[in-house]
Amino acid sequence: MARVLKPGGIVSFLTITYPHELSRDELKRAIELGSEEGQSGPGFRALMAEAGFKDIAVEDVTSSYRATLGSLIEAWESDADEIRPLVGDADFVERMQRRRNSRLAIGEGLHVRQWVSGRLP
Amino acid sequence: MPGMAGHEEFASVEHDFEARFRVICEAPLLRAEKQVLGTDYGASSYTTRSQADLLARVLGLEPGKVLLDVGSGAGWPGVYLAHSTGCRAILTDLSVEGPRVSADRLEKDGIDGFSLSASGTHLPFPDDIFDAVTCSDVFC
Repeated sequence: MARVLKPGGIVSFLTITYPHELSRDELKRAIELGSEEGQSGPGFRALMAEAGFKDIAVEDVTSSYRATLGSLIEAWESDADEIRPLVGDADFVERMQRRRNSRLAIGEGLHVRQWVSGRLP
Repeated sequence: MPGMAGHEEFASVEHDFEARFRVICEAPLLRAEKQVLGTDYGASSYTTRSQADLLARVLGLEPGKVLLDVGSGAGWPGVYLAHSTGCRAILTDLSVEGPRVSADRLEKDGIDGFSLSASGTHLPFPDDIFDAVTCSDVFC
């Protein structure tokens, strides 16, 4: 992303990730909950700095993410008669289970959503 | 062979996204999206409308600026950001169907910009051309 940005350009993104470098047991549990796609490593602040960004900000927006997951589950459940045939049984079940698992992962401290921003010099 | 299994899994995931984007703007899904996020773009991320409004300010978007939304799916929030700020928007997504949907919305809303299918790790653009870059729930 840094390559295509003009000097002084801004990158700002939201992403679901692990809250810190996970232990072996935590990683195993995260994978059980379908959270294997997170980033377990030095974190976005360090990665952004390494890529040359300045004025780096990392904000936790997990509470909003959790609320959105809950609202999505409710909305899909209440309109299941129309949504289920549209997306197919298997996809409906898989996506609902993934959302429920994500809420569990948040509750167990294995998942966060972060808002990361930075500016090129 | 582990390598082959990985490729098969990747292909399966890609197929799922193509299928999802084909129906993402059907009425029942847009009703749910409107109820949850306050939007009707065929959103596939968890970014709310209020977060998108703040994102526009953080990115300094305004007429004359050029925004790149990487992994934009069907166009949320890139199309909305361009519509609400007057900036130009370029949208990319790994799928084929996502950019097709977002291109339709760009045209419908009369927005200066375009959509294309491209990998975020091999962006098909020259250096130093965007004022702002964003993505929503692409790294997870």
